[in-house]
Amino acid sequence: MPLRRFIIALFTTALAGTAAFAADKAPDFSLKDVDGKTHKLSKLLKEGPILLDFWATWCKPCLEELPMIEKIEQAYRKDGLRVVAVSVDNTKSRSKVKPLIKAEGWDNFLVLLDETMEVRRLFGGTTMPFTALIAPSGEILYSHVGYVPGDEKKLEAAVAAYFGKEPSVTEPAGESTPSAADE
Amino acid sequence: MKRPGILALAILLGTTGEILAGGISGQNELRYARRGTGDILKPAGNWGYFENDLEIDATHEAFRLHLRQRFLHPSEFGVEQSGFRAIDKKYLEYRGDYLTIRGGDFYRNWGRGLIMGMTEVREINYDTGLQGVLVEGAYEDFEGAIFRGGEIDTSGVAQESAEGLNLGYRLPFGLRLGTSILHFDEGPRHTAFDRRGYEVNYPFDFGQAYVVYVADSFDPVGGRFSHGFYSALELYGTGWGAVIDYKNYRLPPYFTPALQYPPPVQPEVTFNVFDRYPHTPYYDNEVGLQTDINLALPFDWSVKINYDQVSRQNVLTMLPSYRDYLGPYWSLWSKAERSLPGGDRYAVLAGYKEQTSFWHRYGGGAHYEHRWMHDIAFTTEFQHLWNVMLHEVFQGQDPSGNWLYGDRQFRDALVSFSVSKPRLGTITFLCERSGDIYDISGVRLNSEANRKFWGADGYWPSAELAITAVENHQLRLFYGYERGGIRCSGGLCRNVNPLKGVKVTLTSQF
Repeated sequence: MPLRRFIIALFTTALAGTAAFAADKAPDFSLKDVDGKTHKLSKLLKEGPILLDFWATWCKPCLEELPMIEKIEQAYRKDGLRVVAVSVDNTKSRSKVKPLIKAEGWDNFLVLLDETMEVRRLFGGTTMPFTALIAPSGEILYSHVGYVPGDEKKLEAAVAAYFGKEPSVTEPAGESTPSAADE
Repeated sequence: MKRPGILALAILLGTTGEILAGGISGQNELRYARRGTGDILKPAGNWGYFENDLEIDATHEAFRLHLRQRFLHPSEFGVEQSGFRAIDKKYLEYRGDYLTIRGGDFYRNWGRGLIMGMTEVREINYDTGLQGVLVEGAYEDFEGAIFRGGEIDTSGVAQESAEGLNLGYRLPFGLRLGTSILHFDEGPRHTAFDRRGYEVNYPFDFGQAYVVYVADSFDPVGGRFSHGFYSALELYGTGWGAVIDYKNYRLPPYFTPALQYPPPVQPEVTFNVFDRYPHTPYYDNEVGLQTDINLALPFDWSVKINYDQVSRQNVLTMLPSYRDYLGPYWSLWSKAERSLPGGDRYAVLAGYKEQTSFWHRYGGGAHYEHRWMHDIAFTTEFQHLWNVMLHEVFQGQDPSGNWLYGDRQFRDALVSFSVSKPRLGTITFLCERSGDIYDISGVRLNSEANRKFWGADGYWPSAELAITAVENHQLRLFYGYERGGIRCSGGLCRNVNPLKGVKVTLTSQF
């Protein structure tokens, strides 16, 4: 019996995956920043592409990934890339968010708060970190769950492809670059 | 056979995708664990779990529908849930420019959780959400929210219902004032009572200050204050940031998670072996101060320091005390980390915890990560805890049958190695060891079964393979021993069962 249910659940997973066709468009949302000001994704996208990253102060992989995102942001800022770092820190750790951001020098990030993870769920699941590159049209060009060292190369490849450039931050000279289209 | 509603739900959602032009997103996570045969945890029965969580968000213009189905047969925590009854979270929401209306399940935190706090942490089966109606609005510098709903606790039993109103106004120079009124109906934990909450938030050039105060009309003891106070002072500059938390609780005691009592204090540190012995807050009587400092130093170094001190209070006092009879507790943590431009990272962590005249805990750890061929990462981690307990309050027999009184010492350690490659996966080997013969709750665990899983000279080796070859789909295979006991996530903790066997987890995001 458990095996039967296991197979049914696997089948369900496959069926759920068929809904992926509709997930290319980022769901619009409103969140407050660390100063209490409300921001809406659709308005932010009018200014250019957004690199959206869900993270938390207690999430070790997130804190490994954010410095990499900062390097990518520095390299493509002039092209119009903006990083929106959505913290899912709850009431226990929320007060750590801004001091950490300031100490790390991630001042160019727009830091939003998603304490109940409702917005995180809109992008599928609750796993952290979650990174997405969103075009001004709202189309999700690239998304990735979790972080292991080296993932930043895929992210930069997607960003560079969007701007029609060659990766310059994470890719040592002379190595082949994975295409964003592969994602 | 009970036909699982998962199937019908998935088909329904698969077909509505074309109708709803807005989009569908979600996650499906399948978790299966099979306990190994021949192990000695027989009294726990044929323990294992099989869960499938399907979570869907469908949006169409200003409307959003959220459905979650949790098929549990049983869950890791022993809960059974199947069929359409397993659709345990759902809401329909309208989002206008100034107004949001929701019917169904919702989670909100007011007053950083002290006025009202709702959260769900599935990893530890913690849920204080409400089901009801929520209306929220914002216009220029005004904002407000009103709700009515009923709470369903983690065992599926209806607890009290609640209703509340929250109003906030931002003055031109940034000062934000907020006030809340709530009414909690009678429930298993308490009689009906009202709560008032007040908030002040003031951002300035180099930081911000936040204060929240709550007062309840409910006082089970009589003649006592019934209030809660929390404040956070955040300060930052170039290359540094600090936060100072202060709390002062004299609130009615509750013994199960409740939306009235979220803990608005920082977790001390994310450190596996130390997280097993957390400080338990006393919401009915506690005063505490915590400082957390982040520093960015030259040569790619960064340092984090955390100091936490709490105690009870016999009269209303402003600062925590070190006096023994007030149950003082304090801890000091420091972590130094260096991240090199090539991707290599190393970190060392050391800390000390003390509950005066009762126990002392020293610990440390090291983390090293090396990039290989710009791509493959090798990571190793070591953690160690040394516990010295003085003036032992328990007595009993040790594993050899000798009676123990008084002082006691034990050590915990954890070692892990992992190799990861993007687009392929990660393999991790982990071994945890403990000489502890107590459960975190203080219950004597000296039976043969418990010694094996929790007890003296226990080892919990395991291996896990995480395959991420397909983007947004991850398969994790675990084999080995998993230590039971306290498990913490996001600063919340609870006890979980141990495991010897295999676990399969398939996570798909779409």
